[in-house]
Amino acid sequence: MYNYELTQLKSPDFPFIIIFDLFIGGIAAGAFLVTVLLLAFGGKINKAGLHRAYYITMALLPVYGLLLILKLEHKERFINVLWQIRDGTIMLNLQSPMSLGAWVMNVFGVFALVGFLYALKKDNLLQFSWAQKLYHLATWLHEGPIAKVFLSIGAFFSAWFGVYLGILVTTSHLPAWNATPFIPTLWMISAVITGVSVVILLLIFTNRSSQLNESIQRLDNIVKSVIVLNIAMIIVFVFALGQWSETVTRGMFGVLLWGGVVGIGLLVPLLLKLKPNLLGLKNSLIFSSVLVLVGGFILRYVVMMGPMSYW
Amino acid sequence: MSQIESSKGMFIDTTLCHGCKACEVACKSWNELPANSAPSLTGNSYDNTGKLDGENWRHVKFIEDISDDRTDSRWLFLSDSCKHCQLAGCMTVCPTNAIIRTEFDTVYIDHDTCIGCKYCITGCPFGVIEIGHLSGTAEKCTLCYDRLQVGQQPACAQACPTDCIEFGDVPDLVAMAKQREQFLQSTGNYKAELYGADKKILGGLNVFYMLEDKPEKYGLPSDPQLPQKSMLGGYWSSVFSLFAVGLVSLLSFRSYRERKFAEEEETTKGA
Repeated sequence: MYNYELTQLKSPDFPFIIIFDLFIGGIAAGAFLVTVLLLAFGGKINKAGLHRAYYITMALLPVYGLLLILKLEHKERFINVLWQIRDGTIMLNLQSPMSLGAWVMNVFGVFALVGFLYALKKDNLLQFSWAQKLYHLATWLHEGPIAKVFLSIGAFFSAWFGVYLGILVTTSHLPAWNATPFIPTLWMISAVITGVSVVILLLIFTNRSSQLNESIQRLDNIVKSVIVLNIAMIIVFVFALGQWSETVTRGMFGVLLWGGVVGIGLLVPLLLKLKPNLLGLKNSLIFSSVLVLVGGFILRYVVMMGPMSYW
Repeated sequence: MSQIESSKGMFIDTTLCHGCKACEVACKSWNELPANSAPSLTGNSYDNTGKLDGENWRHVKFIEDISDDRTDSRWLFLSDSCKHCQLAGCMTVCPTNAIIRTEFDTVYIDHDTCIGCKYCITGCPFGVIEIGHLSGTAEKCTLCYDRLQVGQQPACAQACPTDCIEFGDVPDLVAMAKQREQFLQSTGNYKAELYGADKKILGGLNVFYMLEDKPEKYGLPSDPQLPQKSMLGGYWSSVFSLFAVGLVSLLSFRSYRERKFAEEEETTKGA
């Protein structure tokens, strides 16, 4: 009757909007991380169009921030996370993943902005005369002598941002969330395949005269491999949950996890990528990328809502 | 954060509680908490409050303890509230420092700073905090902070007719509790033990208990931890995932390049 975990602990009952938040944040981090790693350490291969991933990160990061604010009970006080009004000091609680994550997001946002300016310069878009120095600075940071250092630091903060979304969930008393340390891992892997899938879609729809084909194929290769990693990680995650595995495998959540995430969101896309002739190369790429996104969204729904709805 | 002037707390002796709920009523009355929606019958013994939440800062648990063969039975009561932990999980995870320690060494929520992110709910190992429907901020027992400021004891302690809730300076309460524990054990109540009086539980609880059975019987965790316990594991697994994703991506990238080179070589040879 008074089982501690079942009767005493409370679910935070985070609103449904948090699923979109985690999903969008993951795409922004994953797309950026893979892009900067390839730009920095991809060697002298054809990386045409890769910089367009920066548009995705720059478009999604503000949406992420907005959704983060919308899930607060007191939305108008969102600045309290960064500024301690009571004491008039900067607000940073190193023990709180949410506090630390807010700052990581801001630093990541600076890198995303620099990347965005670089992409604009590369594509010769929105070239305002008053901002020429900024465009040059962004280009220098990407192609100058310290490019690898700059991109590595960017990769570090994008990775930290992607990871924090999981640490946030793990640092809690809700049994299923703290039963395993693998939620950040699951989030990060999913962030990479969803982020790269969005980049693939963008490149497909902005590909003129096939000049981006090689970049698309290279990115698709990454998704193929990481899908396998994602399936393996989901299985490890469920086993690691132990007695709490039923919070994500029972009833509707089980159907969504195995059917929606693993089946439709990972295995079908993998099949389409391995056998592109089934739908034609372009259609297979588009369809598989969309399914990966659907799977990534459902994964976050199951891992967040399953344990919360148990209480 | 305030300078600690004195360490105030409560010693809840569950052996003296008879479940009258005067403490619940006093708490609601003094703190002007809204009434529970009626009718709210839980069907669980005489406990219709159910749990601590944004509108119930004190909750008397009714535990009907019946032996397996149903030949013996007893009632256990526990007047539950925020424990004002020395290592408070809610306080450590709060992203705005809205949860602070007062000059009385108690844990207090600054409602003007709280943003209602709900993160503290997951940080409390006792399931104490919840969002108040009216305020939209985290709510819990303040140990009647306003009363302490004018030298009064908390409303619940004043209302308790059996002195089950003793209020005072924590060191004095601990000394009193230890004497009581010795007395109970000397009179045959061998299972009587203190919960939270020493530093073993979250560095010590300012509101601690005399229990008549193991903590689990009362729905209390035997060894509660800070939520950060699982944070380090999360970071390590993240490092692993980044390494794995990086390696897999690099290998995938290389395999494509090698295949393309092989194809190009074959084309060149053919030409």
